[in-house]
Amino acid sequence: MSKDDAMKNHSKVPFQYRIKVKGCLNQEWEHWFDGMAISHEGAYTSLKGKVADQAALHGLLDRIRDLNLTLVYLEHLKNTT
Amino acid sequence: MNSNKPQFSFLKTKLSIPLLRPALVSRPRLMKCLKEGMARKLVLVAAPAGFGKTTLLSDWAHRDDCLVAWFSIDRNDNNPLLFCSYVIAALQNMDKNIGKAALNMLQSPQPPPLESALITLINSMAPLKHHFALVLDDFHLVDNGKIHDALSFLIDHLPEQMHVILTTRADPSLPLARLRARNQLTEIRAADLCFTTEEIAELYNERLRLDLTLDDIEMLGARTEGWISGLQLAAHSLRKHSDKSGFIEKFKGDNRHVVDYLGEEVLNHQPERFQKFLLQTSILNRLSAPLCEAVTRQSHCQNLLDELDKADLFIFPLDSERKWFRYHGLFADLLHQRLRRFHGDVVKDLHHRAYEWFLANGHREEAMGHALAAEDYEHLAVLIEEFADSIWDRDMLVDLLRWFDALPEKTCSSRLNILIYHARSLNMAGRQEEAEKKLQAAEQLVKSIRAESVDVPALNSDHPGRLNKSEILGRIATIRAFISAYKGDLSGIKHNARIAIVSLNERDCMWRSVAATTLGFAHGWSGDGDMMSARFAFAEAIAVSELGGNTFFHLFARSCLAHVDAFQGRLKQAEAALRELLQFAEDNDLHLTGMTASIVSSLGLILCEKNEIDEGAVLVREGLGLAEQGFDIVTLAACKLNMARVLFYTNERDQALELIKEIENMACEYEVPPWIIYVTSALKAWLWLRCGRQEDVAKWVAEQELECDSVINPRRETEYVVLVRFLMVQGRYDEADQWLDRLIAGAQAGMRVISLIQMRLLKAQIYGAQNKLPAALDELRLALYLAQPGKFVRTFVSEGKPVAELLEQVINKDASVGSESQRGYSHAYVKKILSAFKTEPKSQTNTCLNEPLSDRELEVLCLIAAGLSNKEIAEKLFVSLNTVRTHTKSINAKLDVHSRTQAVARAKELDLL
Repeated sequence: MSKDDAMKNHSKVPFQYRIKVKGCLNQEWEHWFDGMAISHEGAYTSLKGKVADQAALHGLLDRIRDLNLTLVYLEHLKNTT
Repeated sequence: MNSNKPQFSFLKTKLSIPLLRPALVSRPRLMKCLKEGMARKLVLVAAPAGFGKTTLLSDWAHRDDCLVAWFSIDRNDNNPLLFCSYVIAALQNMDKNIGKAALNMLQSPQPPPLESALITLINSMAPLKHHFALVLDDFHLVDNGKIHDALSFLIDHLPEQMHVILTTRADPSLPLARLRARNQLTEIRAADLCFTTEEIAELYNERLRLDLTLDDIEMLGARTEGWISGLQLAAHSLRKHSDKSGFIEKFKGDNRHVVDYLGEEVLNHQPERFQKFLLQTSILNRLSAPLCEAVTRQSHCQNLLDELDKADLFIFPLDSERKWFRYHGLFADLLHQRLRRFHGDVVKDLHHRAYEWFLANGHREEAMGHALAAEDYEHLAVLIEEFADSIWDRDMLVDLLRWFDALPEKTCSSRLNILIYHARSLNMAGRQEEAEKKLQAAEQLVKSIRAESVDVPALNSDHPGRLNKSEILGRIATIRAFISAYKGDLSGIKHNARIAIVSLNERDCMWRSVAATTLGFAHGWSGDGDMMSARFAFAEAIAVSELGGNTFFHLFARSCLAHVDAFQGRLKQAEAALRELLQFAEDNDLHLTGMTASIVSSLGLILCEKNEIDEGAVLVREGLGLAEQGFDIVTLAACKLNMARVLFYTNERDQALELIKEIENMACEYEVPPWIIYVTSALKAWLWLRCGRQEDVAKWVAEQELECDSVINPRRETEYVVLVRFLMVQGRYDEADQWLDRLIAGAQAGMRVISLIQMRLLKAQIYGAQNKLPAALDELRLALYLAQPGKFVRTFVSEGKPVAELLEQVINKDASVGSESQRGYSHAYVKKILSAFKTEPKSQTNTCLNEPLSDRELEVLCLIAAGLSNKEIAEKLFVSLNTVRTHTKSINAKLDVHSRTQAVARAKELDLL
C-alpha cells in the first residue's frame, strides 16, 4: 500500500463522538442525525455514534444548531474499531 | 452583433422584503436598537433558528422610512461572483442607478478581482443623499472565505449613508471585535430576541385572542424560554384545546424538545390531506401551486397553500402576489425528518417529480439539485453538460466542480462531454494533472468508439447538432492549449491550438475563439514574435467569434489584431481599429472592463508616436487610471509600461524610473508576463544610458547575460537594442553593427516593423559615426521607407541629434531625385520629422540628476564657479592636483558636460549652487 493510500485510509477511519444537548429529542430523529444513537439523560439528550470525518462532524453540529438545540458537551471517544 | 447573454438571472423573490406576518407584536425596544444601529456601520442580528430575526427586520423595513435593499441568501449563493451580483441587484432594487458598471464588470467573461468591482460599486453610491441599509438575511449560509473578505472590504469602505444589517445563526468571520471597539457595531442577540412576558401577553391575548391568565403566560414563557417559534407552535396547539391551562401544565411537565412535542401536536391535528401535502412538499426549497400539484399529484394545491398561509402555519409567502412560498426552516426540518423516517421509499420519486417540473419550467439549477437528490445521475449529467457548455469564466468553472464531484464515477467516465468539461474545470482550479488524466480518458473513449460519428450532442446554440470524433479531439486539444498557456509552454500551445483549429467544427465558435486567441498569444509579442502567424490566428478568432456572437472575445481578438498591426508598422489601421473598438465598448456599456484600459493606453501610445504627445499622454494616463481600478494585473503592468514610455518621451526621467520600479515590484508579487519584464528592463537601461549612468548599464548587460546568448530570444529584442546603444556609446561600433545584423534578420523574419525602423536608424548612426556617409544615408532611406506608411515620428526623434543631422543630409542629397517612388520617401514626411526635432526641449540632458554629486564634489564645483583654477582648488582643499582632476572628471560625467563653463551653467540650471 503506497504512502498516499495509507494517508487516505487514516483520514477515513471514523471517529466516535458523543454530543450532549439540552432537551429531549424523539428517538425518531436518529435518522436525521446520520444514524447516531439517541438516548436520554434526565433533561438532556445524548447523541452517540460514528462520525466519518471532521466535515461530517461540522455538518452534524449545523443540524443541531438549525434545530435550536443548546449544545452542552462534545466528546471524542476512543476508537473502538 | 448581439451582445452576450447575461450569466445570471436574478430570482426576484430573493430581493424583495418579506411580507408582513399577521399578528405581529410590536417590539419597541428592538426597533429602538435598530434605529441606533443606523448610526453605525454594522448591525448584527445573531441567534439560532426560529428566533424571529427575519420577521423583526422585515417589520422594521416596512415601518421605518429608511431605504432598504434586501437580499435573502440561500445555500446556492456561496459563489463570490453570484453573491456580489445579488448584492448589487438588491441595491438596484432600491435605486436603479447604483452599481451598473460594477455589475457589468462582474458579469463580463473576464471579471476583475472582486475588490475593484466593489470600489466601483462604492463610488456609484457616493452621490446618494439618504441613509439606507443593506440587509443580508441568513448570512450563515455562505461560508466562502472570499465572500467574507469581500464583505469585510465593503464594511471597511462603507459610504457614510450606508449601513449593513446581517441576520445569521452563527457569528460571521468579520472583524467584529474591531467594529465593536470603534463603536461601529450594534448587536441584537438571542437574549434580546426572546419574548418577554409582556410581549407574549400581547401576542396571545391581544393578537391571537387566546385569553390566557398571567400565570399561564409565565409558564409558557418559561417552558419555551421566550423562543418565538415555540410560542407560535404552542398557540396553534392551544387553539385546538378547550382546556388551555391543562394543556399548558402538561406541556410544562414534558421534557421533550419544543419542536418535537408541539410540532407533532400541531401536525397530528391537521387533517389527513394537509399532513400528506406537508410531508410530500417538504422536499422543496420553495413552493408554488403548480409545482406542488406536480409533486403531490393532488389538485387544488392553491387552496391548501392559501389556507396554510392564512393560518400562518408552516409557510410564508415569498412575493406579494403570494404565488411562491417557503417553509419555515424548523418545520421544514421536522417534516423532512418525518418523511424520511416513515416514507423513506418515496423520497426519490418526489425529487424526481420536482426535477421534471423545474426542468419543464426553465429553472435549471433547481432541476439539477433535485436530480441529484433523486440520484438520477444520467439526467443530472445532461443538465451539467448544458450548463457547462456556455461557461468560460474561471470562478464559475471552479464552482462547477461540486457538480462533477456529485456524479458517480461510472457516469463521469462514460460521458465524453462530462470528461471534457470536468477537465476544463479542473484546469481552472489549478489541478492540471487530474485534468490531463481526464483528457486522456476522453481520448481513450473516443478511440474505443467504432462508429465515425460519436453520439455527443454539441449542445452549443451556435452549433445545434452532434460532434464527430475529430471535433471532439479538437475540443480536447483546446483544453490542452489552455493548460499549456497557463504553464507558459509556447510549443505546447502552438501544437495543441493548431490541432484544435483544424479539428473543431467550423460552427463550434466559442471553442474556436479560445483556441485561436491562445494561439495568437503564443505567436505574438508575448511569444515568439512571429507577427504574421499571430495575425492569422487573431483574424481567425475575429471571424469565429463574430459568427458565434461572442462579443467579448470578438472585441478582445480585434484589439489583439490592432496591436499586431502596430508592430507591423501599420499605425493608421491600428489607430482606426482601436478607435472603433472604443466606440463599440462605449455603445454597449462595456467601457469599464480591463480591455478598455489597454485599448485606451495603446491608442495613446500610437498618438505619441505620431508626435501628438499632448493628446497621447492624456489617453495613456486615462488608460492607466482605468487599469488602476484594480483590474487585471497584466493590464495594469502593461499600462504602467506605456506610461513610463510617455514619461521617457517627455524627458521626465525620474518619474519614468519610479514607475519602472513599481512594475518590478509587481513582478515580485504577481505573475507578470515575461515580455513586460523584458521591455521594462530595456526601457530602464535606456533611461540610464540617457542619464550617463554607463556603469549601471554595463552591470545590467552582464546581469542579463546578454552578450552570452548565442541565440537571440525574440522576446528580449528590446533589451538587445539597448545593448547595441550601449556599445555605440562606448565606441564599439563594429560589435554593435554585428549585433544589429543578427537582430535585423530576426525582426525581418517576424515582420516586426517598429523594431526594424529602430535598428536601421541605429545602423545609420553607426555608419555616420564611422564617417561612412553613403552607407548611413542608405540605412536612413530604408528606415524612412518602412516608417512612412505609418507616419512614425517619435522613433526618429528619440534618436536625437545624430539622426536629425542625417535627415538634413539626406534631404540635400536627394534634392535632385525626382519622384517619391524613386527616393522611397516623401519630402513632406522628412520635413515633418525635422520640425518635430525643432519643437523638442532644448536641453537633451537631465532635468535632474540621477546620481547626485558628493559633498566633496559640490565643494569643488562651488570653487570652480568662483573662478578658481584646479591648482588653486587643490591648495584650498589641501588635496593633490590629481584628486581635484578626478573630482572634476566625475562632476562632468554626472552633469553630462565636457567643460568647466558647461558644468557651472548646468549646475545653475539644476540649482545646485
